[in-house]
Order: sequence, then C-alpha cells, then structure tokens
Amino acid sequence: MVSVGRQKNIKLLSYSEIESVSGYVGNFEVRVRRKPRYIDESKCTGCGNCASVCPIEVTNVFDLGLSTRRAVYRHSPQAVPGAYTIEKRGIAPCRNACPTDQRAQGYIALVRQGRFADAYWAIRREHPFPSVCGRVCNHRCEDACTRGSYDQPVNIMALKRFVADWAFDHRDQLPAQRAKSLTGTPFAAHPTASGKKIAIIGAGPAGLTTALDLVRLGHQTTVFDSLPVAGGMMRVGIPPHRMPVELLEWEIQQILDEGVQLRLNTWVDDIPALLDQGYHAVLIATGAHQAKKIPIRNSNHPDNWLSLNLLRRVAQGEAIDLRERSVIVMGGGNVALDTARTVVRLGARQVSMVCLEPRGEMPGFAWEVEVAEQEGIHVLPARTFKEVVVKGNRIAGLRCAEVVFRGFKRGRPDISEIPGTEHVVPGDLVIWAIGQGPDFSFLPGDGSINTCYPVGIQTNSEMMTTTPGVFCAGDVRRGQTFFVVDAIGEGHHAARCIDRYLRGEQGVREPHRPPVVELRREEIEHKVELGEAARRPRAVIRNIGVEARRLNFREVDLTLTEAEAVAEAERCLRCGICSECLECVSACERGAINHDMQPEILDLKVGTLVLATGFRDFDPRVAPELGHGRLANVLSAMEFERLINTGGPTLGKVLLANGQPPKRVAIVHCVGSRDDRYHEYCSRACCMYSLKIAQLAHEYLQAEVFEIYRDMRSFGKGYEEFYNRTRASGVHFFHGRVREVTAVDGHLRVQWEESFHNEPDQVDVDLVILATGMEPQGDTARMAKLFGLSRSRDGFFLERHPKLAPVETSSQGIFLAGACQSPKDIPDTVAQAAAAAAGALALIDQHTISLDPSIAEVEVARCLGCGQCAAACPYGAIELARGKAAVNAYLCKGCGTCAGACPNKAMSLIHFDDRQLIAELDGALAWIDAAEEVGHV
Amino acid sequence: MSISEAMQSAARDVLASGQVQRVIGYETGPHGRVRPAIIDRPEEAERLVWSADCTHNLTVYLHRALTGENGRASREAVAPPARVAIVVKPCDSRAINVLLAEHQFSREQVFAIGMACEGMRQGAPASAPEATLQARCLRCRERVPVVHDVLLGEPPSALPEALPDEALAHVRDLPPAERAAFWLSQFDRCIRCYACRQACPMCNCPTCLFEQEDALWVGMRIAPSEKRTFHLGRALHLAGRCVGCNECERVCPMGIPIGLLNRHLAETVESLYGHRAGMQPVLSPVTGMLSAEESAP
Amino acid sequence: MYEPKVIGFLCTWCSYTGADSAGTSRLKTPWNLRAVRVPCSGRVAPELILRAFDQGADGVLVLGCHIGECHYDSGNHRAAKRIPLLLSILEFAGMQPERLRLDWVSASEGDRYARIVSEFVDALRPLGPNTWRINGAAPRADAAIGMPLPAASGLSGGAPCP
Repeated sequence: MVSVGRQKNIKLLSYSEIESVSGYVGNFEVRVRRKPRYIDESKCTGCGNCASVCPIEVTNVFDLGLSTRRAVYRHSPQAVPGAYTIEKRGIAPCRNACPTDQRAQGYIALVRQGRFADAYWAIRREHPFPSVCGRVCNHRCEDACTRGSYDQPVNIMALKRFVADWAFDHRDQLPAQRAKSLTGTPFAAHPTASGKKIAIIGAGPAGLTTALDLVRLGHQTTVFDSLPVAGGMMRVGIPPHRMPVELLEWEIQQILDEGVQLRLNTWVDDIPALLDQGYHAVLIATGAHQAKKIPIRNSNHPDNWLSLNLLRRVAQGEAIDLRERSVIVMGGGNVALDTARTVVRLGARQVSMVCLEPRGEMPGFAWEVEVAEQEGIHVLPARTFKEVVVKGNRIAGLRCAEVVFRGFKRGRPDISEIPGTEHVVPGDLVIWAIGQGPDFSFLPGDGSINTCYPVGIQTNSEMMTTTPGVFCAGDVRRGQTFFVVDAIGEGHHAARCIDRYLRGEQGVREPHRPPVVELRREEIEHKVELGEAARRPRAVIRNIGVEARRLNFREVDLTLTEAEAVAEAERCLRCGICSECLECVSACERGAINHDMQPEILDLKVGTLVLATGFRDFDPRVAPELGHGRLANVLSAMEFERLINTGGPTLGKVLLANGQPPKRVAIVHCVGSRDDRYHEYCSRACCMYSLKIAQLAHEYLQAEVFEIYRDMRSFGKGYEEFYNRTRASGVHFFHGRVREVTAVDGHLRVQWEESFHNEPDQVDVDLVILATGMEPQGDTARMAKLFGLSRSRDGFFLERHPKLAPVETSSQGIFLAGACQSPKDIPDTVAQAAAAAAGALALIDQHTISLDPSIAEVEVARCLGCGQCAAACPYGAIELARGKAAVNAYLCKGCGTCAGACPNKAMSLIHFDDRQLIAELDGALAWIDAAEEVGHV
Repeated sequence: MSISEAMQSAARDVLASGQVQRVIGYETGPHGRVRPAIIDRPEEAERLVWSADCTHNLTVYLHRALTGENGRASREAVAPPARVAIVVKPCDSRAINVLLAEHQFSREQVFAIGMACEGMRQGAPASAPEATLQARCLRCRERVPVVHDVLLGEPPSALPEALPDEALAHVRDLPPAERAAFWLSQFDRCIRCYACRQACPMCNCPTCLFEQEDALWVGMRIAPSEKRTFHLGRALHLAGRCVGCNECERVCPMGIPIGLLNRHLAETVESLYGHRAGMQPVLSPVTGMLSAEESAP
Repeated sequence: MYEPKVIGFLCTWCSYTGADSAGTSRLKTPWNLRAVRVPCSGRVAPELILRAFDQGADGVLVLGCHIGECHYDSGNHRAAKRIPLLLSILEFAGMQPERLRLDWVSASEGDRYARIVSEFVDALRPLGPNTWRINGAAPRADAAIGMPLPAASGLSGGAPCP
C-alpha cells in the first residue's frame, strides 16, 4: 500500500465515491465525488495531535466496535494515505438555528469533558457576549435541538451561562489563550493591518460585535455611544436582576482589549462629517431605544413614564423610590416584564401588567410571566387601553376594556371589544412598555440615508444604506427590538460586508452552510442505548426565593454547578458527530485542518476501468444459533484478529469477559458459507485463516484448540503442508457441521453433527471463534448498475467467461480484480489484480479497439420510429433520429433484444439476422423430418 | 346549444384562429350514415356532427394527416398541416397516448376535441332507432377522454355497471381442441383483405411484416395456418398497445371476432404487468424491464 | 411413443454453455432438441417461435441466463416479459401450453439443462404430434360447423362499412 501511495503514476482518490460512469471502452467518463476530509492530505503528517484534543468519541468501525475512536481519526494504523479524516455528518441543528452560527455542539462537547476554559474560547469564536445570551436569549438552538424530539432539548442556554460564569470566576487564571478564539475562523486568515478606519455609532451588541470582528480582520474601529456606559440595550435595557452588570463589563473590556476604541457620551449626528474625518466606513447600530406611547386621553400626564427610560435610569444606578406608588405597566412583552419586575424591586405597593394579548399569546416568555406573578405582579391580559383616568392632579387608574384578540394584521392588532366590560385598573403611575422604535433624529436631514416603511433604515443585501460606505445593523435596521443574538448575528454579517467593501474581492466570504443533520428516531434511540447520550432529564435551573428578591437587584436565576453542567452536556446527542469545537484546528501544527472543506467533483476521462471493491465479512449475528452478539466470548475471526494484533485495541491481549485468558478455544468453520440458509458458495479463505488462528491461539495463548470443520480445503501452494503442521502441533480437528453454541455452566458448549458416521459430538470451551465467510459488498447492486455490469447469482460481479475471460466483464474495458468477483484469498487476488492490470494496459496500449462485428442495424425503410427497440436496449445504444431508429455502434453490445422487440423486424442483428435464424430453424426441422424418413423413430 | 353545435363551434374556432389547419371529425354521408370528415376551412365546420353513431376511431387518420402522406385526395404537393384537431371518444383518446409514446407525433401537434361518451349504438341509425349499445361500450366504463384539449358534453355522473366479457369467457372455457377448431374455422373465413389492419391506428408499419413479398415470416397464400399466423402475429404486435376500439372487428367483411384476440391479450398484459394501453403516454411494458419483485429469484 | 421435434433457442452465454457443460459432465439429454444459438434470450422474437411452430416444431424451448445474470444486463428481462404473452395467445388459440417453455440455465448448470430438456421432452411425448401445422390444406369445413359464435362477440359493430 505504501509503495502504491508513493508511485507517482498512481493517483489515489481515497474517501471518494463514483457518481456516474458513461462512455465506452477507451472513452469512459467517470464522475468522482471526493468527500471532504476536512484535513488537507498534503499537509497532514498523521501525528494525531488533533485526535488527542477531540472531545467526540465514537465507535471504531475498524476495530469492529471493540474500541472507540475520536471524530477525527485515521481509518487504520496502516492506512494509505495516512492522513486523518474528520467524520462530519453536517452541521448540527443547534448551530443552524443560531443567528450567530454558534457551534453549540462544540462547547457542549468540551463541557462534557470538563474543559471549561476551552469551551469558553470555543463560544467566543462566534459570540462575544456569552454571559448575556446565557441569560436572556430565546435560544432557538434549544427549539431546534434533536434531543427535544426524544424527551427534552439540552439546556444549551444554561450551559452557555455556566461556561460564561465559570470563565468570569476564573478570569485571572484563564490561560492566555485568547488567540484560540480566532483559530478556525475567517479572522485567522487576515493578520495584516489594512489601515482602514471604521466609525461605529452605538455600543450595543451589533456595534460591538462588528467592531470586534473588524479589528480582528485588521481594521481600526472606533465605537461612539451617547450614553456614559457601553453595552447598549444589554447594559441599560436588561435589568440587573436578570443580567449582572459586572459580567457584561468584563466581556466588553475583553473586546476593548483586542483594540476596539470606545468613545462614550458622544452623540453623533453628522455622519457625512465622519466620512470626511478619514473614516472609510460608518456603521449605524443605534438600536431601538425609544419606547412608544399611543395617544389616549391623559397620556401626556407627567406620571406617564416610558419603560426604557426607567430601565435606563435603574441600570445607571439611579436610586428611584416607588414605595408609595401603585404602578400600571402597559404591555405584555419582555420589556414590560422587565419593567414590572424592576418596579417590584423598587418597592411599589402594587404592580399591574395590562396587555392586549390573551395569556398564552403574550410576546414575553411564558416562564417569566409566571415568575412575575410569583413576585406579586397582577397580570391582566386581553385588554385594550381606553384612557388614563386622572382625578384631581393625580392619575387614578387606567380605563380598560376586555377584547377578543385575533393576532396582528399588517402590524396592527386585529381585536374586537367585548361590550360592557369597561373597567378601571387602579394605579397612580403608568409605565408604557408597548413597544419601542429607533430614533432617527441623528440622520442627515437631506434624506441621503433612506428609511423604509414601516420602520428601520433601508439597506441592500450587503447591509449598506443608501449612502455608500455607510452601513447599518441591528434593531435600528429592522426598526424594532429583536434579541441580542439577532443583533450579534447582524453584527457579524455587517463586519463581513464592510470588510468586503473595504478589501473588495479579498474580503471574507459569507460562511458556507453545509446540510443540517437530521437524526432518525432509531438513530437517537441507538445513541441513547449506546450511552453516547445520557438517559436523564433536562437540568432544572434553581433560583433564589421570592423573599430574597425584595428591594434588591440580586440575580434571580442561579447557575449550574460543574457537576450539573457536565451531566447536562452528557445529554447532547452529538448530531453532527464532529462537534466543530475547532480544538483540532488549534492543535494542528501544520494548519492542515479546514472545517469548511467542500466536496469536490472530479470528471475523469479514462480508457479502462478496474473494479476491486472487495467483499464484506459475513455478519455472524445472522446465524443466531452460533451465539455471536448473544453469548459472551463468541468472537468472529476478524474480531479475534483485531484483539490478538499488537496494534489492536487491547495491544494484543485476548481475554475473556471475566478477564481471564482463554484456556480452551473452538474454531467453527463455514460460518455463512456452504450453507443453503446463507450462502451456497465456499468462501475459500476461511479454512486457511482458521488454521492460522488455531496456531496463534495455540502458540500465543497456550490454549487447547478445537477446529470443527466440514471439509478442509487446503488447495493452495504450501497449504496442505501448513495444515499438516498445525495438526502436528497438537490442535484437535473434528469433522462435523456445528449445530449450536450454548452457554452451559459458565462454559460455551459447541455441538455438531458428524456427517459420515452420523455421530453427534460436542466440546466445552471458553472461547468460540467463528470463521466467517465473505459476501458481496452492500452496494454491489448499485455499483453493477453504475458500471453496467452483471452479477452472478451469489451477488458478486460476473466475469465475462468463467474460464476464458475471468477478469473481464461483459462491458468491454471494465475489469475485475479480487473478492468483488468471487471470494478468494490473497495470492489469488494478487494474481487476478495483476491480470486485470495487464488486460487494462494491453487495451490502452493498442490505441485502437476492435469491436465485435455482431451489432444491430436498422433497415430504415421498414422502421416506423415507434421506439420500442430503444426501450428494449439495455445499453441505451439506440436513439431516434428524425423519426427513425439509429444504432450507436460503440455502445451496442450485440444482444439483439431490439431485433426481438421490433414489430416490423426493421431492426436486425448482424450474424444473427432473421433470415439466418429462420434458415437455421428450417434446417433444424427438416433434419428431424429426414430422421423420421429413415425410420429412426 | 346541442353537442353537435358545440363541436362545430369548437372546430370553427380552432380553424379560424389558426390554431389548427385541419379538423378530423364526423359528418353525415349521402345515405344518412355517419362517416369520417376531414375539413380545412372554418365554414366547413357546419358539416360536422356528433351522435351515438360516431363509432369510427379517427386517430387512424392522424399520423397520415400530420405527415401529409395521405391526408386528402389531393395531387398537388402541399405542406402537411402543423397542427390537427381531432374529435375523440375516450377509447380513441387512449390511442393518441399510445401513438405519442411511440413518437408518431408530438402532443403539440394535436388538438383533441374530447367528447364525453355514453357509448356507441349498434347497427345503422335509421333502421334501428331503439338499437342497443355496442357490446364493447357495455363493457366500457370510461366516459371522459384521457387526452383532450377541450371537453364537450357532460359526463354522466352515475355509471351503469360494466358488463362482463361473456364472449371472451366462453372461448376461454372451451377445451383446447375445440378452441383450436373454433379459431381455425374463424380464420378460415379470412380473405386477407387487411381491412382490420387498415382500420387500426396502431398498425402503422410502412409495410406489414406479414405482407412482405419474400414470405419470410408467413406465406402469402390463404392457407388457414398462414391466416392464423397473420392474426396471431398481429394480436401479438398489439399486446399492450390495443385500446379496444374494436375497429378491426367492425370493418371485417367476414365477421371474424378479431377483437377477442386483442381483448384476451389486453387482459393478460393488465394482469401480468398492470398496464392498460393508452392510459398514459407510455410504451407497452412488453419491451421493458421486469419489476423488482418479478425479478426476485 | 412419438418422438417430438423440439427447437431450443439457447443463449450463447449461459444455456448454450450450460448445454456444453451437460455434455462435458456426460449427462444424457434427449436428442429431440435441436439447438439454435442466439446471443441472448432477448433476441428471440415471438414471431420466430410462431414460425417454428408453423414449420412443424412440436415444442419450443427458450433458455436464457437467470434474471440478474444476463450478460447483456437485462436482455432476459425482455424475454421474460414477451414470451408469456406469446404463450398466452397460443393457448387462447388452442395450442397446448406444454409446447412452449421459457426457463433459465446458467453456464455452470449442466445438470439443470439436462433436467429441463428431459422434462420438456417427456411432457411433449404423450401429446403426440403438434396439430398446429396444417400442411397447406384447408381445414375440414365441418370443424367449424356446430361451433356457436358467441352472441356478444360483436359480429356487427356500429355502422356498417360504407
């Protein structure tokens, strides 16, 4: 194999599949699909560093399931080429669902291994604010999680928060691995400074994400914000009882540490001036910070507060006392909930939440509505607001009416009032939380940056506004509040767009999205069965009691413990197999790993083809009486070979299930072969390899060996001598057909029938080895169709003639080598392979090919062009041209099926035409007549 | 508007608008008999009729009309029409599908005026006003053409029960020797006039295999075995293609029940290969591959 | 006992070679079969078989490769679809079905070849000569007399021919 790999005239296309074969001898066109290895074969040295850091363990097929391997693996120690391969089924649904492209399966896999620091850096590759999204996200990853279709989705958000909190707690000890958060991302490819400056207006999630990405791409960025604090809505919109400020500040500080400039307390209202000041591009990411009011009566009373203003004041540390107030919060979304829960913490006597949507359809998280009620908030859903009732100088309440809510139509609620349900909700302070929109007052007055209906700034697909060089991302672009994760996603996209704008063609591409993995129910159950995913319920988030929340902003939800986090991570089904944690990318010193590798289609033009697709080992579980898979210590021959191999999973130790070395070993011959229940043919190699196994067991295991054979077929050169030697060494041979293997008193009993004297016999052993036969590969039928080959009844490819053309096929120019044609041992395989190679070369060397003269021809005058011949032709050699059949002489193989099908016999076969066959018929019948006449009968 | 008038107006429209250059339909002949009509001008459309006597399968004219080989009795060399409209019954429309599958013309070349059919009457119109439906129509349950560009007439909502094929069953139940004798006596009447072949839309070979001068496949005399070979061979060629219009039997001057052979094979093809000729534009399965379960060893 | 005349259409790749292996295995096969070698059972047009019966064959045996083993990928599929129809119409026209058989013999199955040919010939012997061939003479007219034409066979179609 090694010399094949090094031969410069041999191009080895491993990990590839044939997609189609067309043409004919001398002119085959073969389409090959090279599956992505995700590792550059030419760079990989096979050192195995990648596998040592890979967190994904899967069953090792090469070791027949006797060991596990990593998702990045080398097929076998002797594999040629020796490069590693990453087994990837596609991208996991969690990653696909996340706007930031967060590789959730990756950090979950690392958490599972207790590698929390690695997990943190894995998260930070796509996500600069894990502590925020670990708390306030609407976690579309969990909605998409495959585990959700089995029991409940993995608590991905809690895991993210756990990692973020762990990192914050260990921020001083976190190894200086910041560079790791770049490996495997597009940023690694752009180390050179571009010299371009970008101004970013708004230090919210979109703005900071873009700023960070652009810095990593080699640009200079300055972020402006009108507020004295950075973080935008994350900082001043999410109240501290949900999002502790210090974590966010640490994350922002990390962004600044990478070189992002921040200018707070700066209101930017002249964008053209920024461009004039030397900024090459501007990003508007000002968010949606203006809470809305609707003009009902008395909505201008000074005690009509705006939700975002209140939240902003609280977040900036202003002490607000609402202890004597009774508050009505208008709205049912997350901002309303935040506001209401904040008001509770500010001491309000009574808090009511009034909203249009009925319970269950409120836009806020359902779980948070429950929490709000626990905290003492009256939730009054399905109401419309009629009027703010003012008595004297003070607000007395909110006049509401109950409604039937039918959803939103074109942005407007579709409701009808229930007559006679008008009532006043009492309260002396009204806080509006019915939605928010962006503030456009800073845009140039000339309309050069266009806004669009209904709200938001108009951008093209490259995120650019109507002014070249000015980009827009986040809530301000969409015109309303979305989730932090959406803003981060838009920030990444905007950074790529700006980079492309600044660098032209060399800018970073949009990431390629491979197919999303979908696991079938059986696959999920199989994974849980194997223990690849733990069988335990979803982790529950604990929180501090309602009492502990009075008049303070302590965070309500608690984080997972390390043990809980690992346990929850163990529930992950690892849909994609490779988790894309990119640890291998960091570990690879040669830079050989590329997780974005694409399948490659190669169109090869070749003159001849040799098929050497081999065989499949007979699965002994198909013969349940022999106990494989059912009884302990019953091995197939291949399993035994792997175990006794010093490079195998046990480094050459063969031990019984109880840990003891086997003392008595039985080898059962003809498993799956020479048996009318399975395969009628003899697999030819098993007798001899059984002798080899017998010798190994006898010499290395010092075991007593019993061979139960049906016929000893030692037909090759030196084979009979080997048999005699094995016999002489003390291995016991019994002639018989094994009926059953059973477990008796801690032993395995092998029972057989002796066919000559009809005397059944048995032996008790502690290890049984089944000499399994060969069978055709599972895809032989597909391959036969692809290459236009026939198969013999046993399923192997059919040679052109069993004696005279044993390596050729009925398709000229296609040769067979090895066990794909029939079971054979290594010497026979090598001989046949050499013959196939010689045949293929001989054909090529001729430069011209002679075709069989017996092909179909058309008598055009008789042809009516019905196409039945074309339908009958197995080779597609007949086409209809101008209403008549025409034969392609290169494709025609001369079977004459067309001549059989033609109703008018316009189609005939040269050398087997109708006239000749009829003359033959007449002669044959006349001959018998003559025989009758001479009185033979 | 009667159905005849609807058909006339449809024919007039397609001719006048230039969608087709020729219409093949039915007209009433000089003796009050319905006969095929081929018209080229919109004003001729009023000749067309539709009745329960329009038994002819007009698709037999289709290939010739489109290739100009024998469209009309015209000596001058005129280009064949690009598109032809044809009046079809459900059975006839299946013939269009067979001919389409066999590449005789393309679907775009045919404008099918589909007639919802309630069966054709037996016998001449004047002599037998109360005449019953033809036997083949009593066995037929198709009321709407499978190929049509317009559909005229209302298909009846309730279908009468299709009658079983008693004649076929009768012949099948005969002992083999009697069956051989029966068929030999039938074939013996054949005068090899080839009317059956001429009337058949599927019999479109340039020269019939069984009419070749070299007598390679069958002798040209009228020996009973030769006639039998002709009829059996013809039936075999129609296997999976015959749509059961029964024109061969109708035009036979000697009254040979040719339709029995075709119906027997049609039933065999349906039971063996699940194929009914002309229901889709697909070739007869006789040239195709075995299905997966058929090829299982 | 009557010795039937049998035409065997043998596929050159399987059954013709199978006949060879029957010979090399010294297996006895009836002499009644006269082999016509064809490249594939798909080549055997039904018209050829009709022709053989017309010329006086007592039986026709078509042997091809097993389904799935055709040297031409699927030529035998076409035979498997066509020949049953021929058998069906011949039987309908009064021929004994034993006189036509389609079967599969692979190159190595000499024993199967010998068995199938023997079975086929054995089944033909009791049937006697095939009455199919009528040596040019018209059939006796009384063969038709007394054969009722089924009423519904539709002697008269629709309108008579003009």
